[in-house]
Amino acid sequence: MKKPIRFYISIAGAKILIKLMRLLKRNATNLPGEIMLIFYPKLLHHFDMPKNVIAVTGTNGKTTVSNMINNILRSNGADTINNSFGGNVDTGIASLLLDHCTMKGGFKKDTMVLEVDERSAARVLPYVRPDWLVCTNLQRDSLKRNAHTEFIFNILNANIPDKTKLILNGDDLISSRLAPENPRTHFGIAQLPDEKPTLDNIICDIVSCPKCGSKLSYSFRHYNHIGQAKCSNSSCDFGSPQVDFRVVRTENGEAVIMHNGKEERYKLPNNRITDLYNTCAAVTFARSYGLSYEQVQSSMSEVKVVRSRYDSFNAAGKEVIISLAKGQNPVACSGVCDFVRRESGNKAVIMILEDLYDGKRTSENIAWIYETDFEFLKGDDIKQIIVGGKRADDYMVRLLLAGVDKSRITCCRYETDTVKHLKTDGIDKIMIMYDLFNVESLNSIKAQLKALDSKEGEVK
Amino acid sequence: MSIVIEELFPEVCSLFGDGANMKYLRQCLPEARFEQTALNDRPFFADNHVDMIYMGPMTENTQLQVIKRLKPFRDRIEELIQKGTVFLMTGNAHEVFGKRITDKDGTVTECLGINDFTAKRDMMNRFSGLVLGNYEDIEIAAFRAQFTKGYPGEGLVPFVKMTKGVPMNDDEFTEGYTRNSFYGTYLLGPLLILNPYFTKKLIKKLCGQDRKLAFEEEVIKAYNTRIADFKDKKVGIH
Repeated sequence: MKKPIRFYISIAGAKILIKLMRLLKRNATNLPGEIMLIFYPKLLHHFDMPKNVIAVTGTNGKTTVSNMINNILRSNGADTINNSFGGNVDTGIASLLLDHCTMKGGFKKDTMVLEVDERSAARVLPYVRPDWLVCTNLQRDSLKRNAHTEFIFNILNANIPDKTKLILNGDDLISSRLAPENPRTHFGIAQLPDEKPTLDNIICDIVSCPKCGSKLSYSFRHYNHIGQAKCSNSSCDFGSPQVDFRVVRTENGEAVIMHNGKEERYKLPNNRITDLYNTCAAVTFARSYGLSYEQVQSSMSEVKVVRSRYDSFNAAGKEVIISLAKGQNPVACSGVCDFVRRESGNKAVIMILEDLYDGKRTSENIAWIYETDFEFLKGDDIKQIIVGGKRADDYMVRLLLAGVDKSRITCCRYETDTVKHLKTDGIDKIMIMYDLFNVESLNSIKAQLKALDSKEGEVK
Repeated sequence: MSIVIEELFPEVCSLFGDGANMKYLRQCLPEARFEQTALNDRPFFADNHVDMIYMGPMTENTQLQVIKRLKPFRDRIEELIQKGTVFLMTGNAHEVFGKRITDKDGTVTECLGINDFTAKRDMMNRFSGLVLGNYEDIEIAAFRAQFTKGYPGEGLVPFVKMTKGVPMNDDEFTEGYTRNSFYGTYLLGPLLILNPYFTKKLIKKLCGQDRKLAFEEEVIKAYNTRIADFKDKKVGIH
């Protein structure tokens, strides 16, 4: 089909811009796409997409899962294009396509793995036309941008192409209902032996049956609304779907997944329930895509969690554990609170959760901290909570409302001052919860903690 | 007689941390009786005395269900408003009590028709931002995030006369409305925690006397920090 001249001008212009930006040591992951989409808004309509396009979306876990899928495909010989270093909205994806396409708008590589922001689905999915779409979950996210799960569900549902094969979370009664006519494979996690489910979350995004409005009856929940449920109305057939790939237990750092009546074992990057879901999502895709158990197992043995999301080291004789807690995302942040509460030993918690990106322009809407389960941090084993940042006074109130003893809370105006208030006596672990935009402060905190080794005893 | 506060449909009408309003009020009024009514249950106010009714924001589909559930009690709600019962309806909850919601595509949702209020909704445009202004002699500082613009009619008094922020429509620099002790506001989230002086006024309406709030010192400190932040010219409205 003949393409408009503006499409070719966009490609040429973007390629020159990308080269110039790289000469200037700038990453060209967003701006070229942003400019060319202004120049030609229909740009994305005209690419001849690679033979295999895999899109990964969802509220939480999409970055990890798309990285896992990309690694699995590459280690099995695929030459992939992916946006692991770029934006996941239309401008970032346009930049990626413009960078990798030929001058005619085709691609030399035959496989593309795209992380797609769920809010941007309408501007991306109809044009990249994914052969496969993995949706990790749909959960409550930034109230400002994402409103609520029903809103995001409707956007996705209206924009998934008819032929796209879906990999869906069977334990999520929201996303598992996407595009009901499309072919689908479900993954999930059974109630695990010795699992202590998180039943005390503030948020449960689906409580009543979308078909008849009756109350849903959960047989179990891992956290929030993620679990197995059915409608309490005996004349209604709504309930969790049949799961094709189900984690039944973890053993020696491996997930044991039942598929077609047989056990498959895959190395886990970590032992949290969210890591299990991410692993299961990636494995379900890879196996459904046609890779053998042995191929996927071998690839998964090399998978590691990106260091910026989870890290640990020792300082002043204490184990320091760092977790990305994603500010303004109450479900993700609650997951980290739950992780902190489940860690053994006496703990001190440093929190730097302020959304500095939002804070540059306006005053952060802190409503989300009242949906986040800070109640998980009121246990006696959490000896100190130190909050740093402009919104520290808000966190003080929130923690008091959560039932945390006032004597255990310290608030300071600057994130980088938190270490000064740390009392290491009687503490086994220092847990740091940080927002993505607080990496600079995190690095300073890490350096200060590491410096405690050389002058141990100075901070007590 | 102890104060009775009813929270309507908390399982589906607390999208943005709004449940914290009642959690906080419980700590401020430990002697009060709190009733939670689920969407499929008969409202407590239908057959009993209540001093206050609270409902928080909900999805657009839930609005339809809530209108259906409350329709049989329309006259009772009107009676309670006339009597001076406190209603606090945050986020889009108050739209349910208005006349109608009109979508951009022309679809009209008929609401309870109790208050002279209409809303226009555009699901492709979410507008959000901070709100700073005055209610009587106090300053209100809070946030909005919504798909609708609201238009109050005759007989409704603006809740907040704004000094900075994003108003609820393009014509007036106000936020929300009051009618007797009915507070309808698009402000969402932990409104009562963010605005301790408003909470004190509300509690005085309920108890007839001034009361010390839970964590009053800390809540007022956070409020003062936010007011100063909002007033800072470098702080944008969204």
